[in-house]
Amino acid sequence: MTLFDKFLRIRELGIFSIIVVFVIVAAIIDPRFMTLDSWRAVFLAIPLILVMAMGQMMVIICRHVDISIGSILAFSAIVIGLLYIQFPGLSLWLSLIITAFVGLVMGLINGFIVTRFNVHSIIVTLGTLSLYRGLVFIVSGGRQIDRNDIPEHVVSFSQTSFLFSIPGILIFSAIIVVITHLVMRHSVLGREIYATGSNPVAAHLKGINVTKVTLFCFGICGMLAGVAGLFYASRFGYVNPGVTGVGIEFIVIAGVIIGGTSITGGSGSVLGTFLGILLLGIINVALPVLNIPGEFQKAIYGLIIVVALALDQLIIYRMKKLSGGINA
Amino acid sequence: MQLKTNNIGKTFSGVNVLRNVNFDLKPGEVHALVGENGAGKSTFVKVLSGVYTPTEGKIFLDEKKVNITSPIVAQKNGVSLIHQEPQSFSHLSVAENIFMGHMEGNNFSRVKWQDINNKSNEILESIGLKIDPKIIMEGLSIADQQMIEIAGALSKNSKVLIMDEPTSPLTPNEVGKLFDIVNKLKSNGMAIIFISHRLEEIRQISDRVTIFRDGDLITTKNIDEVSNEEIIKFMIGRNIEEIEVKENQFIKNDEYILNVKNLSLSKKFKDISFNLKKGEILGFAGLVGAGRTEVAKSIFGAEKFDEGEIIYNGESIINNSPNEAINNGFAYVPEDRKQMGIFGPVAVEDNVTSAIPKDISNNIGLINSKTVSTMTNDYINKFNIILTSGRQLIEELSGGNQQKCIISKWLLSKPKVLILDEPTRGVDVGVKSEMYEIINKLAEEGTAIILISSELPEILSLSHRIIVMREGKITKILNNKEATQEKIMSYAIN
Repeated sequence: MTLFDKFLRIRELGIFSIIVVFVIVAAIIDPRFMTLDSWRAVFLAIPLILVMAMGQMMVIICRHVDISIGSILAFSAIVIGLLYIQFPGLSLWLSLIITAFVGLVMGLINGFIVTRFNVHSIIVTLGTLSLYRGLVFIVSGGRQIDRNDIPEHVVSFSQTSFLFSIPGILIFSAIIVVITHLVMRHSVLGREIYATGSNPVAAHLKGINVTKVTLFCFGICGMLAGVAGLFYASRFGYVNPGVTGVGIEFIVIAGVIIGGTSITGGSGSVLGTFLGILLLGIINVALPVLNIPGEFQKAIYGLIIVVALALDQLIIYRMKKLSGGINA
Repeated sequence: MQLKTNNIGKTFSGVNVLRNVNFDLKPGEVHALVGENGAGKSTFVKVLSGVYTPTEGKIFLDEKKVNITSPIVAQKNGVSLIHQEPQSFSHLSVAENIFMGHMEGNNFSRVKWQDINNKSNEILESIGLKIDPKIIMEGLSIADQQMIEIAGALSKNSKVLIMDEPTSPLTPNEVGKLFDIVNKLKSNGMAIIFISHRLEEIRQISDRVTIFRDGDLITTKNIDEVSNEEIIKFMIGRNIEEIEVKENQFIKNDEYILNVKNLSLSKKFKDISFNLKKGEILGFAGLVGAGRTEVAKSIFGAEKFDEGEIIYNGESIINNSPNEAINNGFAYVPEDRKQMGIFGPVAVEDNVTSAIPKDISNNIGLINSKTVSTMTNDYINKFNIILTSGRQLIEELSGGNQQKCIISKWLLSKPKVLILDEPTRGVDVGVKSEMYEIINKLAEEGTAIILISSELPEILSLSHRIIVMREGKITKILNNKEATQEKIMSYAIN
């Protein structure tokens, strides 16, 4: 096997090369893109999406999908916002625990319905997408949480930190990414998640508690969406029942899939998902710099997904051909 | 006794599918289970391996009574089931496939990669398999996947290994390898239950044989004390006469319907030339991987070919797609029933009529369900397909009945050239002989048939001429009169 062949075997390669090409092209068109400000914007935009993507990736590897995460984010953000109105001194750590718990419960409800009643997760979470959003309106009475309702120490979480003033949410999301990697790649449970997604029937026969594994994935996915609710309140400084988190599931799922996670379950990696989200973040920041109007953004996201998936399949096909796996 | 059962019975919604089974298994023994599909042998091993819980009766392991309530409990008690279709995780590594479900530690323990890789290596070596445990499962052959499943059972220190038709997806070469492993395990004291439809294999590998019929254990015999004819008699309660190749009126003519000239596809097959008469059954023999299926697919338009010519009814044609081939009067019954032959969760009727949408619909394309039913019922009666109604889902039928449905489907399109790829794989003896009658009858009616089969007795008892292929080339074309199993094998191998 030549070095080039080995190189081709790395699943994340396709997405990585798209990023490199995109950055080079963007930098040539407008050198302003390579300024520190642009990259700061990229890395400020990422954490919220990245944290949700970790959970979503687990759910997708396990052969499901959770499209209710935008509503979970909004609900947890509204809950914490309302709490800030009552208790402005609520500490950041306690806020994290509360939002994580709120999200965990909502994710477990999704997982419970999916596993207990054997309903397809798209249907279940399509329902709870609307249900949870409805709860946001009910709990908040339709009222927005404003900038001055959110305490300063929470806002500063997304602006600075003790560590070289790197924004706290960036550090925190990095920790979550590393933990997710360790769990998925190296823990017994992580491997059971892959096994469940790869072949649920075989997983059951091998004694894996498929229900437990599935519940775990939905629970964590909800929990991280809940935490993202806190990130949202911190970063944007408001929570609006009709706006917050609407459509965010599209970006998250897109990032996960662009990152090479198979929608049919069983494969995907944290590195790939990170790269997928990074690409979307870079595009998000690059478009205005390159004078591409905002209304093109969605179309470009869609295009990237299609191109990335096609490229990914092409690489898999090449790999198999090299190893003689096709028609052999 | 390693394993003993006392009056095991199993009832599904009031129907007895297993009655009073008293069975025993010694350590270091290969014990074959035979019986027609639905005879109860599969239900019985599912009871032993915890997939079903018995309605009545007791199971003893090592003389101790056990309650086997799930596959996990069975595995903990040392009973492992090797499935006919390997149940593997294609995205994960070989070592993970072996140790999945019983890795050391709790949920959040770190997987001891080095440990499981080393142990996997040891186990794989102990059964003579040279596979790197670190490679991903995807792309490994079914035979290798099966061996890895056996390795998984060994990693759990299983004492009883149940193999449910392990040889049916394997090539003769691979069967040999599997038997080497089985013999090795046997000499280490493993008790093995072995299900197969192939009596030659049973004779070759097993010590005792137990015959099931209609939910009853008929008898258990030492393999040396019972002939194949007797086993078959026990299985079906009647004799099967040897079928002889039947001549028909079409064969005497020299009218060729199909003439294949120098067909080649790079890396698959080369210079394939043969002709086919109306009413002729042309057998394709050879090892799996010799290129027989590929040739068939190229003729049928499911794959392309690089060079060569196909002359059909005197005209040169190329089938660019299966759809074109069907319109030209070709039909192809694929080898992989589950994946390519049936629409599983769909009614039998709709499966049977799925290749002829134009014949069952009216002018605006709506399907006439009455036509669908009548057409299907014709074949249900003709082929003696056993089902509750035409609306039953095809995946609920036994393999043999599914195969009859698939053949019905293709016959409805009234093919002139019918390609059958391993038509009797995984089908029991009774259905097999029915299938042979069907094939012979089709030939008598003038259908030209290409029969690809890895079972030599099948090829020999049906084909008028036999083409032997090896590594993508035709090595010999034999007349039925001169052909013997030995001759075919020698051309298939050298």
